[in-house]
Amino acid sequence: MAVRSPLKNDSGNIKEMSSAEVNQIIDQIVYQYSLNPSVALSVVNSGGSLGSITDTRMQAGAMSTDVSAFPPEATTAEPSVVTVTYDKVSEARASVSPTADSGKTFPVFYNSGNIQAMSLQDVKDTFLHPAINLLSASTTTSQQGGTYHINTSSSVGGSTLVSGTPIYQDSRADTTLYTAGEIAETLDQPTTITSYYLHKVDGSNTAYTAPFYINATNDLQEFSPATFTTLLQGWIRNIAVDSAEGYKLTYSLAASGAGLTRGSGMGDTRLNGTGNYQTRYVDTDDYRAQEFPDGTPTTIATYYLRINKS
Amino acid sequence: MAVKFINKTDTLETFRSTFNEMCADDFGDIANLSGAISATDLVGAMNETISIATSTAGWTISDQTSTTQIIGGGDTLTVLGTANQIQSVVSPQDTITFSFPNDVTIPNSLTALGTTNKFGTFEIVGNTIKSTDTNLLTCLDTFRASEYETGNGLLSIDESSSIPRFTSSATGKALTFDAVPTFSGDVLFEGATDNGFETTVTVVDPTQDRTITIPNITGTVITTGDTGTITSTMIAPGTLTGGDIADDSIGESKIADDAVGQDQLKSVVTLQILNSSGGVLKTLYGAGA
Repeated sequence: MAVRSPLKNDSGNIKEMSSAEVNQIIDQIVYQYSLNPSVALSVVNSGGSLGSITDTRMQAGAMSTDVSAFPPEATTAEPSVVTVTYDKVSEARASVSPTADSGKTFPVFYNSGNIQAMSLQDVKDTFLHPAINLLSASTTTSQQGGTYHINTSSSVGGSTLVSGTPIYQDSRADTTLYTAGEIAETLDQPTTITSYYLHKVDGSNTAYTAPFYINATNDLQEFSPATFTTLLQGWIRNIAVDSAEGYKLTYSLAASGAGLTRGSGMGDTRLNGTGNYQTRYVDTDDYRAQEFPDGTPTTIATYYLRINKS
Repeated sequence: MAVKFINKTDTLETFRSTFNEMCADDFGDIANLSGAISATDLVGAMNETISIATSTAGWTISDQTSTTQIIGGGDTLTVLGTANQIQSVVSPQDTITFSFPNDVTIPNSLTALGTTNKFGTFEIVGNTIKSTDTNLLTCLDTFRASEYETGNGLLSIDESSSIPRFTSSATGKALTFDAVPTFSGDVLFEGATDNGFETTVTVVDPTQDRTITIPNITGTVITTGDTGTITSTMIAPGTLTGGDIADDSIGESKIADDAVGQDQLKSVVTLQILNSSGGVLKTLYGAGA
């Protein structure tokens, strides 16, 4: 690993950049990534490539009837679990062909009395991998621009809603809807507790100091903003999808897994009761009993969107 | 009267006539002989005449000033010369010969009216003086003339305005010195205008032999008083040294483009620009501390 200090124009002199200035370039790389992420998530109706997560809730047991007396609780059907599968997030990985190193493609650095162009490995060690480290952090500031997170709100400051369609909804049986007078109640009468939305973190175009590079006539020249950002955007996008050195970005949607969680955990909650036994006398030949969902909400599982570098 | 000859081949008549002429014209008629003469033949008459002449006769001698002297009978006329001027020699019977002595002194002027006058091997022909045996005339004393000219008058030496003057009338006023002239002082050039301004070439009194060489090239002599005269073509390549150039005097414009190399830099240091593989793309040279 060779982290370099790029050279910059300091009022007509050549000077090594400070670590703060290097970090500014890293932030700019993150911003460039945010403009066109190479690992993009989208919300689909179903069949999303990140796999499925489930929402479970309790529904009432089936009604029991008798012509002479109320069916006892023991014989009345217990509430059961309803499972809804969410597989709405799909990951797309771009194919990126960045500018190859010609020997003088990248910024220069001071090397034992000489000025040398950074190699691709130098660029990775100095800029790209630190940028990936930022992008793959668990936070959702602008330094994670272009990456995704989950939020229960459809509007999050500093982020852009990917889709108005929730990628996951936690539902539970709405016990208020179940009444004995309406036995046989509809078994599944859920209510949505929480909806979860996919957001993309907005980038921030931070200022940076353009480093020197070796131009066609082998002179030192400052990178133009367009050239520099295009170069770096190509490589950060490439690293994010194709790194063989542990800096490839991947997302996962599961209760557990590698990587850092992004945003809200999506809890699957349901009532934990054993059934609310209710009876209804309809007439002398119609005695009904049914167990409604009851209990307190209990988290069955918590799912996360994770970002991982590997 | 002339000498008469009778040749072997002459006729007798010729002999006769010649003889008669001799008798009549050369010997004379004996009848005409003076009665004072008693002799009857020519020899006797002549001897008798000499005797008379030498014993009794006198005569007058006159010089160029009409001064006269009477030479009496029996007197001796003594003819003397003047020492170093003229001398005389008497020789039989009655001859006196005048001649110059070997060493002649002419008290006053000598005028030779002849066309050619020689003094030994020194010859004066009209206005021409020359040697008759060599081409050399030697004057061991000061030779002074109003004006000297060379053979064809191309060079004259005279005085003008109390100043000695050499004048060449050759083409271009050429004057050749096949000599090594030595000037004791200055050499002045009047220039095209004869006025009060001259250019003087002078020397500082040499303390030993010096040589100033005028090169084999056409050009103008440069002096220390010149400004802006010396051109780059006059400076031999590679001869100027750092000491010839004033400190801090070479401006940027005087340095040719692409001319300064690493060797000209003091305590040169290098800065290489390398590609990402470490290959040298460019080497920058700079002056060190």
